Amino acid sequence: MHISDGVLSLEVATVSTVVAFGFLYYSFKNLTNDKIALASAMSALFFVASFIHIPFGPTQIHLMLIGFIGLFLGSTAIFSISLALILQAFLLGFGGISSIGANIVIMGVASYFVFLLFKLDFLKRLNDKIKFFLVGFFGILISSLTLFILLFFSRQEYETIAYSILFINIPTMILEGLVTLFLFLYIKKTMPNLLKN
Amino acid sequence: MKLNPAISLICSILFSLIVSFSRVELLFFVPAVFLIFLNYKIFLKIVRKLLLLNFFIVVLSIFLYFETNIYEAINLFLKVNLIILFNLLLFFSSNGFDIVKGFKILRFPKKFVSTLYFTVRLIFELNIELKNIKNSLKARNFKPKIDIFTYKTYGNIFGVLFIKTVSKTNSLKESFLLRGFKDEIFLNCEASLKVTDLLLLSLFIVLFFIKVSS
Repeated sequence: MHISDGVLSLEVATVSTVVAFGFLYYSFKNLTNDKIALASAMSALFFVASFIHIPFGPTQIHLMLIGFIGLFLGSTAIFSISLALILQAFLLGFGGISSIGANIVIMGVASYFVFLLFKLDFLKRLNDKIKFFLVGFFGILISSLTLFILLFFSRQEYETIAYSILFINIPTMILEGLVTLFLFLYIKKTMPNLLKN
Repeated sequence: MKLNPAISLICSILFSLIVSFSRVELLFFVPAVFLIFLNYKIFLKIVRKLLLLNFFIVVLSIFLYFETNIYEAINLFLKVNLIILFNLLLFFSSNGFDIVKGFKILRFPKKFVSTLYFTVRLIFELNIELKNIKNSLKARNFKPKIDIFTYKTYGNIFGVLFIKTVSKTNSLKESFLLRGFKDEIFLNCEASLKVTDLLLLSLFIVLFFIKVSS
């Protein structure tokens, strides 16, 4: 899901960076002293999740926990994921520096959108298992759609790959949904007080 | 990390921005060659990592080749690889705390630096935890398959990691509150410049002027 440096056009990179920094400022403003520890924890979890590869069909997929982090942190998720993205770009070479804005929009903002989505009444009323699955599924769905839009508007030549990436990410959506479902069920069983709100 | 972390961050940002939005030129390889010279002992390890990161770039370049021409594809391939190589050369031996120090020297907001510091610390602890979990899975002869049991196991692994992170975070938070933590984390930051830092910076100034004048 990460976009490397040099892939996006100047226009798309600039617009996405401006949008990302707007959201990042909003997220940073909401980061209170007592939230710093949890934001760091989620950031670390996002970073470490990229090391766990799970088999899915003929390929292996790594999780991102975008929806999960969004649901726990709300707007702070944008800042939390941004920190992990910065560290990934510098330390691991995932993503990039000039494309950091785009990556924040793809993963951080998408995470916040999952939070907003699950504030809607009709989603609150769903069965727990379906809801937990959808948290993971929507996280990757929104990210993939954002990635698609950024690639599509970047260069005309990327049109085919933009559609391909959207298609390729369908298994990731299902897998992220499944693992998120079991993750929530585990938390519900062991520390249900964490899911109270 | 052999260079001053703040200088590394500045150079990384400048290099990524300049190369990302230009066509590849021989000139761009000069700072990378300088860094290869500084990191010649670990260069092969860096190249191995670069190759592992190449999957998406190769796919993108192939698509671009079919949509446009070979020159566009090669340009993109070289550009992306050059930026990743440059950043890997700068940060390959970094333990993460250097980056935190770099941001601190560059006077990023206190809350930003503190959260980044806690993140790096928790990444270390989570990595140890993950290694233990992987070992215990091996000991139980767990082999990942494409079935619900495997996905449930991974869900539980993330659950264990999450709960351990939350409890570690709480103890970290309490210990810092006892020390009177208010947004700011105090780090021992050496902001001195070495000859290598100055050389790299000079290379960038020359590169910038050549790019602007052309």
